[in-house]
Amino acid sequence: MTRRRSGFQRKEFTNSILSMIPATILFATIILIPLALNLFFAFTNYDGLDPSFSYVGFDNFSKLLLKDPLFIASMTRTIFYSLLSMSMGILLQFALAMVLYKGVFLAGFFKAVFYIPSMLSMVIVSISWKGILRYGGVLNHLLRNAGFSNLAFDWLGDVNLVLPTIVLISQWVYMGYGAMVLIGGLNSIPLELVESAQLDGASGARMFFSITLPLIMHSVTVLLFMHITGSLTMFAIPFIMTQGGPRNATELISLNIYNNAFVYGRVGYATAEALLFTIVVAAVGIFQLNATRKREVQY
Amino acid sequence: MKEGINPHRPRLSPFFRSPFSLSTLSPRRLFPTALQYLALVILFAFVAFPMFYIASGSLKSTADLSRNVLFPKTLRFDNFVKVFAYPEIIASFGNSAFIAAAALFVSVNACLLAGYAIARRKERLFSGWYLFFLSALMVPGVSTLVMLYRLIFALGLMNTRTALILIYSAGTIPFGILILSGFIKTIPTSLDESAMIEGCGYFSRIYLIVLPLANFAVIIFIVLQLPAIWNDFLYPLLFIRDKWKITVTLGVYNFSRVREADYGSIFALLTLALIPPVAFFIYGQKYIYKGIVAGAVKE
Amino acid sequence: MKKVLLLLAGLCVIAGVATANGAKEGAAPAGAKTKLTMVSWFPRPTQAGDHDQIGEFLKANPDIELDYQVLEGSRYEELVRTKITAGDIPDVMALMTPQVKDFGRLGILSDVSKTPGGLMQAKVPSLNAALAANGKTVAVNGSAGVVQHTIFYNKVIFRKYGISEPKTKAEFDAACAKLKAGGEEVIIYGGADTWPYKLAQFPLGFTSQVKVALEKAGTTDLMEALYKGAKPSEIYGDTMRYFKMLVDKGYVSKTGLTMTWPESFTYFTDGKCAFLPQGPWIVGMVAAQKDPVIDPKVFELGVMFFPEEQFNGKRYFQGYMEYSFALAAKAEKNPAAVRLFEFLTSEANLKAELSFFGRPTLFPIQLDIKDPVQQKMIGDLSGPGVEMVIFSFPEAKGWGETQMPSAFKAVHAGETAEKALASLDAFYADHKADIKQ
Repeated sequence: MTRRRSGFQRKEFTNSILSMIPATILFATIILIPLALNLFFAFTNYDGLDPSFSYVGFDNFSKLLLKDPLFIASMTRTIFYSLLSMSMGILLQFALAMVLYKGVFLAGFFKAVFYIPSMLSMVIVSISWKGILRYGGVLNHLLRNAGFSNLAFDWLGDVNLVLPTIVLISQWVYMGYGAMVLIGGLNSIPLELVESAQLDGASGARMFFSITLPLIMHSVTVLLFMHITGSLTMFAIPFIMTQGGPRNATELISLNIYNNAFVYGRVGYATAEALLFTIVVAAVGIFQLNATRKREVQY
Repeated sequence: MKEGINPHRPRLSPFFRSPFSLSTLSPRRLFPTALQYLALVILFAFVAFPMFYIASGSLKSTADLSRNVLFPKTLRFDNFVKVFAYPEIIASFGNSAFIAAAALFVSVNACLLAGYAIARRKERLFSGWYLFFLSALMVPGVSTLVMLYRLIFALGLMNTRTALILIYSAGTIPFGILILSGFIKTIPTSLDESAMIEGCGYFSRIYLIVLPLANFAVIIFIVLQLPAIWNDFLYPLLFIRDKWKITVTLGVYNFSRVREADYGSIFALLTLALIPPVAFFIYGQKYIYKGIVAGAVKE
Repeated sequence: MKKVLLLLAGLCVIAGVATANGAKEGAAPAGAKTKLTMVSWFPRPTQAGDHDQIGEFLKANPDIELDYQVLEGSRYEELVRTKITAGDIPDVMALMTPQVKDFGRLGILSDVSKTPGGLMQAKVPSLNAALAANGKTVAVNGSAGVVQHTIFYNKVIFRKYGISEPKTKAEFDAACAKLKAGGEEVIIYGGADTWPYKLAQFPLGFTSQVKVALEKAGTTDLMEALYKGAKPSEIYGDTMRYFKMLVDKGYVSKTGLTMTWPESFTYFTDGKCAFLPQGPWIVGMVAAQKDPVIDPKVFELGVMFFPEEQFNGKRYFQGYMEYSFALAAKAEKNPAAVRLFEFLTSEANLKAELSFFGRPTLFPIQLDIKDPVQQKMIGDLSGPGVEMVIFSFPEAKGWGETQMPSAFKAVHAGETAEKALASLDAFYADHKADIKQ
């Protein structure tokens, strides 16, 4: 027996399609078309101004991967930055969540103060910290007054210190936010499970890894995803604070792409780089989501 | 009502321990240990200090600031006067508000429509379409930058606020669809059906029945995306040239470059720029926390 | 919920209307002023008594309304480039030399050889060649011959140690040693801003650089020599190694590494260091310093040029064309734009501007210099045995503004000269293909 869709059902279907259209148009224009253009220009040597560019095949890609020390350096630097930022971030955020979760006196006030930095623009964050960390600024001043003059480094000008400094600044921004996410997850653990586990003799670390962690895995997944994508694509802080830093020490991949496109005028090359970068970020993101999703536990 | 304490927690059971306290066996550890309080104070100082420094710095003269005087002899309000000498700074607040409001308006409508279709339709076309939107969450902003630039130029939208509005609407769509479709799924279809029986059209159903119920999700969406739009730096930097169309972030950035070493007035502007996010947080914190939890706990 | 949406919509409308009025700032009623746009990286002077060329123009032309946009100097090339790519081409532009070549080649600038400024510039062929593209002169220099070679010193400190202005390299080294032994900070570079290291690259060894360029590539134009295969490590090697030696001996003080250039200026005028290699604008800044006033017991300004060894009986200086003015091709037929351009490049205006800043010029203009320090500076540069070199060949992007100063900064911070030179070699080799003639 064949089923014919009723006129009503067809109308529903058409309307559904129609209602997808506004979002799709916006999305396609702003996100898809540029990505498609990326795909096109990545194989050319377009410089942004000169309309007479030519097709160069995979040249851009081979140059990037094999002959561009700056790109390789940027990539390694970004990975290092991302790992450092994530590990520190998870630790700090867990620590903070541990303390605030327990119902500290004035918890609401503390939470607010910790959360607000994540609501500030990167411009505000960068300029404020630049003012604090510059060589003659308040941090060094306090260190010197406290007798720790040998700790008063040039935080933003020393090639070895500047990247860890930037890591710390991004911790400052996101610590409260991450802690809130974790607290949200912790609050959702039903007490009965905890108590029955305790009655069974679980305690401390065992409790944490076997009971707590799997139950909050969903929050951790979300948090990790944001950490990874956020740290890999970090642009604003290095751009505003150090413009790539003393001798490229803070030139992360996003900044490298920006420089190639807008400063050195190698648009074709930059789009090739952007394509590679997108693939890497997407791959890492998907991998992470799958890996942690497996460990999520429903109750 | 203290945030963060599970309202269903049974009263002071002597066996209750936080899921990961490391000292299950010692009695009466119901409040954070001294160590944890210490950690809290240190982290709090770390997070709160810069904001305090900026706010207090705005009242000091530049000479005082370069010498890091703690308590200035005179409070200098002329830093603020210097800021207001640039009327485009005032306009920038209006611009940011306008752009954010317009972008969110467009985005909410687009996501509502698309979210409803995705939540209700069972065809694989729609679940595929859904994934298609979500995939954009992994595309880093800088990848599409160059080509987006060319596109905006080709559309004749260079140096317009409309360009920013379009970009932000499109940018918030993936997240909006995620939240709205997820929420709409929890609205029982029986409501839809009774509306259909009453002769309610497709679009009227969305706006008259679903929207009031999805109130909550829309607010959470707005509350989480508004800071992202307000604080964005990259797109105004690239697309806005006209000083009367700049946003707050761009205004702060330009101001800090123009007034290079005049930290007093820079801090004054930073303080002013701090006010909207803080006010927004205070006003909307209930929804902000709910939003984080919603995103972190269930999907 | 409807309320929230309505509220949003209402906010949109209100805010949009409010700020749209601001955006219409320029909408003039018919028959009112002509509007022009100009971009530059130097802000209009704010102190009374300063020569404000824009102000003078506006006073003489009340029917013109000028949108004078100041874009950030350290990113100027990038910012103008994005503006032009977007189709937002200003009517008149102040440009750095590489930009003149770049935009001229693409036909964005109009041919100005027949303007009064262009005709005057034609009398200095090397200048004209440097600012030409596609065979036409597309810009007129505004500060021809500003020299990045000046080293200022504190006469008070010199007198204290009985040092007279060094006339040979050996005397310079001896003077530094004496000062260091006495516990003085010898040479300060405002390192936090990076560009002050240009005053290490040029003063300390330009003649040696030209020597290598002539030997390896047969040209005094260093940019052309680089393109023709002379490696940066060959050209700048001696200069970099000499600078390294100064750093190692402590003559170039580490204190300066973290100073911004205004801080280095204050440090210098507070009498805390002996030498400040900086641009000729220091003279004007010293004269204008009021708050606090400079204490003559502690500081008196002197200027000298580094006593390099001569080559072929000559000492070479770079004719640094700091900025040039250009007229957009699309504004060629706009009489107001032409008026602005011709005013800025007129002999009268150039004379007033250059005299005020005390900059020596290659133009055949007699400047009106009164300040004794400036007179000495110009005197040192005139006379036989002095040869100006102008770079007319395009450079690798960011070479002069970013790469070279950064390399010197790294050496100041402790890197070896060899490593810095190697990275310059690598950079040039990597970006050479992007250079278009």
